[in-house]
Amino acid sequence: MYRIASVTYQYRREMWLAAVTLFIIPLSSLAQLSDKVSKVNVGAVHPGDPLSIQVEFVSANVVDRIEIAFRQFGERDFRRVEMLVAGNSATVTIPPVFVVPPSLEYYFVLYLHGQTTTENYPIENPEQHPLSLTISEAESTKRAIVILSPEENEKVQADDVLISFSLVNDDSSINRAATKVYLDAADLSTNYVRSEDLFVIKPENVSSTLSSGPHTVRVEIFDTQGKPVDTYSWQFTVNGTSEIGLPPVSSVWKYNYNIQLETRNEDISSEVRPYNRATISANGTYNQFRLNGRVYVTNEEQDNRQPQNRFFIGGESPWFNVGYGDSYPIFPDLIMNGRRVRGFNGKLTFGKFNLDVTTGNIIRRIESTVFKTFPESTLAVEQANDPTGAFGLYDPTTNPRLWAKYNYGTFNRTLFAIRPSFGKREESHIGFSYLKSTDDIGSIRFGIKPQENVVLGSDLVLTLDRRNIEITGQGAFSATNKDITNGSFSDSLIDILYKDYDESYRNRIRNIRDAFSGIITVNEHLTPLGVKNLPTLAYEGGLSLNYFNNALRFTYLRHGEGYESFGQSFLRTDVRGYNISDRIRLANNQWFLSAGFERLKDNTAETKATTTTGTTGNVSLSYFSRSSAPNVTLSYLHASNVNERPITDSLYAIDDRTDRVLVQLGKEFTFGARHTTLLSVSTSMRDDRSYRDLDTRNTTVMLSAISTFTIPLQTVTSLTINSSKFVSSFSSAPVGGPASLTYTTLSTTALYRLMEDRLQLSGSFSPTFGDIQRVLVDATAQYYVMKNLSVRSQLSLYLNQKFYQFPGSTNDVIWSLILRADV
Amino acid sequence: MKYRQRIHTNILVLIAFTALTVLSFGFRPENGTLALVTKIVQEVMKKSASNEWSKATSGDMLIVGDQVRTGKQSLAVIKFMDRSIVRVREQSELTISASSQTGGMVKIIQLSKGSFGFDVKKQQNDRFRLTSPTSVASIRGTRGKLSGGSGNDTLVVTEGLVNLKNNVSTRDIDVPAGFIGFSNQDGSISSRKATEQELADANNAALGGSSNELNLELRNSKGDKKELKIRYKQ
Repeated sequence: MYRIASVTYQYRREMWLAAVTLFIIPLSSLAQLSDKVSKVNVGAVHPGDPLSIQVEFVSANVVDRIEIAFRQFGERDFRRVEMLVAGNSATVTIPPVFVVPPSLEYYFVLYLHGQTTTENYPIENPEQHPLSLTISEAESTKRAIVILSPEENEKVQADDVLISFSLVNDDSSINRAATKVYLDAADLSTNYVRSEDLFVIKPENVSSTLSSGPHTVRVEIFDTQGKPVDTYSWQFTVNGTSEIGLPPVSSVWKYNYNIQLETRNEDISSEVRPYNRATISANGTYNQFRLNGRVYVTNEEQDNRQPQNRFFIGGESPWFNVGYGDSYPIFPDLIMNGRRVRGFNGKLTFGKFNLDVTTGNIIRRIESTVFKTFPESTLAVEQANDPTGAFGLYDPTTNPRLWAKYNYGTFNRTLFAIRPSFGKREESHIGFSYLKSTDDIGSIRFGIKPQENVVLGSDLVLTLDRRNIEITGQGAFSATNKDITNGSFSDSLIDILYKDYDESYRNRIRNIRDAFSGIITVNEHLTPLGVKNLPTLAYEGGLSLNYFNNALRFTYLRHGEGYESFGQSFLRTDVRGYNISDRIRLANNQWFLSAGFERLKDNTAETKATTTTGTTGNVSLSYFSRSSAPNVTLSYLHASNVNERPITDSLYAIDDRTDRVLVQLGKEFTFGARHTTLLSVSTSMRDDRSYRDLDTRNTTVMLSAISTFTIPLQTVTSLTINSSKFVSSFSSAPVGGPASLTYTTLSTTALYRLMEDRLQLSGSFSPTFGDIQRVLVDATAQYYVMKNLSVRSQLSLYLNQKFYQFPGSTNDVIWSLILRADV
Repeated sequence: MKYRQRIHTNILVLIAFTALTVLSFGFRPENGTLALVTKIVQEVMKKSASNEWSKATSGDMLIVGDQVRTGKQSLAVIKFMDRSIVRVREQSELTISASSQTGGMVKIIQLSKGSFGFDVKKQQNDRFRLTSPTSVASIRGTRGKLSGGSGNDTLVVTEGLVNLKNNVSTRDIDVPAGFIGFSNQDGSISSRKATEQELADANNAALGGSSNELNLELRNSKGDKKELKIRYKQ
């Protein structure tokens, strides 16, 4: 009887396997439509922990650069950070300070390859209708693993030590087979037995290595890309000794590395592009020292683009952290954040004194392109033929002299930043920052307006009463020279440029030049040249209070209109105002009420004809059920931008209001399998009362279900209905006339593991109907030839029938093959 | 042409949805690991659907339908994935299984003979059900001991609240902490306050170790007496 049941079960498994492979379903479960972005992956969300977000592109060659714009609950402005592009994906880690309940809103800005314009994702109205991530405080207590044995701080006999834990994270981006388990310094990863999410190391594989006393189990979890996702450790104590007594650790050196080789072929709009990439990453630890390195090489590397290859090698210990290669150093927000630096990056941490230093290139030189050379005599003719072209003296030694028509190149831009700080990094401290960045004039032959930038700043963190009170502040002053071609002023040039001023003023200019030309080039292109209204001063101050189940935060900021740091390209300037938000936990952490208010004004230097005031108020109520009732989130946002000009002023008047309502219902339940369902309804309306009347309206309804079966199969099914009304500039509608866009996307995805997890099959099928008509089909198979060696193949089909008012059927085909070894 | 394309697309969507719907109902959580044997003392045997009785070892995984049996002066500690613990006392036999119900999963421990202590963690959606041929006890987060399995069952609850139902009479009662419930073959079901001895025994069964009590009588210079009770585990 048991045999029959077993055969029946096997038959059913095979039937479903056949069904799954037949209806290959996408993993792009979010069902947001774009022909550039195929998928957005969000890592595990824990309040106060860094948050990893990854964007996968339809085509590897689609973007030169991508930025994530994100904001916390209660904020109007989005902060921007550049993402690290590697192959057909880009990743970013949101710093922990921004990962706070109840939500984080974000969208992406894509700088398209070969184009001067940008595109957003989601495409329509991303600022009014961004992607939203619910950050649940209730979830924060969840660990990604459940420790089964030994319990934390448990006392056990040496012969009874059974190590067991279970991964509870359903995230399909986790590679369970790559999980590493260490007992003290010994790597026991080859000793465990795994059944789906359960890991067991039996006593016979453990106890002979144990002496009496405390011991530590450490579990390292990796994603499918081989990157460490999380590390957990816990301690237990052994009573009595085992037969051997001492841990037979062969070496205190521990290391691992992985190699990934990828070949990819894209056939998009009948244009075929092959890509070949290789990634090698390695890390090793020796007691408290850690070494890590990474090299990424691609055939996309070209002299006329910014670097596509990446490399990094670094070392860490509790008191130092140094590295050379491509990195994204983090200094205070006003100084540097989100910029790639190729060079040296180091940190010293001595407790009461710390030092951060970075130096390297942030822009690589791209040599100018000479189209043609010609004798000086024909210069006038050439200029007449191309009045917008760039012309320059090519060879002054010839007779006649040779001139050239060319494309401007890009200067090599170097950056140096240093920040000594006093006090513990995670506690109260004060820091002082200095940043200097300069274009190397001699790096290319023909360039335009090389620049220079210096920033001086200070930052302060004060934590009191076990961090229940936190006071933060930072201020910075910048100076930027927009053209250093001719260096600092000469005395004679000062006399010429300021001939209308008296001698004492010219002397003052000379004194300023003499005082500061050692730091920055001083000439007429320097900002600021005056101190009225301090246009290049920026500062921010904040107070956070955590009492009586409240998390209250108040921030005041002022960023001058001329403030600029080459290490921080995304700071909004010319703004001042305040933000206040509060989050209250009620009814034993089942209810969360959040409210925020922000008022910001521009015209900080009082040089504009009018001042615009932006006001944002929002409120959100969340209920996290501990019974069978669903989790519920309701939120409302009202934002307005108004200036003092009368509405009849067709050029400068601004008067718009936006209202947004979001309702989300989520429920987990078991019915044949474990299901996580989500219903989300979001609607926003922008009423532009100015002469332009750029009203927009958008409604999105999404229903999704993630089902986890024990066999083990995971499916994601979603239905998204999107309807927008806006003012269109498409040719078939009157320019500036109203237009609408409505489409429905159905997305189904399945991930199936079989052969004891050696083979993973996944597929997706995602048709879109309405004003956009497209079908996405995706199939992926990953096979572990050995425990540490896998082969992954992916095929994606894009069957495009219609994109808004542009009919035309095209089929795009992308396939890739990845060989990966983890050691 | 467009009409045909649309029909094809609709058919594909329909097939995909049908497949997923069938998938959703086609599988039950019948073969997932439910629990783990974390400790063995003396003679403990286990039996799965496809195998006969064999010696159990620490670290053995238990799936739906697995049975565990203990010999004389033996003990098995079983830990579930939610960290709930069942301590199978000597000369006992039980089967573990699970079933789905709306809102969560029900983990079932069926006692055939002997007794076991339980320390069940509070669950959001899942439930535990302790059964015997005579009784069913539904719990969500509690501690105690169930004995019987062969006609007359006793349930001692040291923490939380348990609903105890008699399968013969279908009558049920709530057994709160500090009480003992009786469910018998004749359909009768009742409860009373548990004695200190019964509670101590249930606590030992649920938490492990044997608890001892040392009573000291202290007397000061004036002759006043005070009693000091020290409880300790071995």
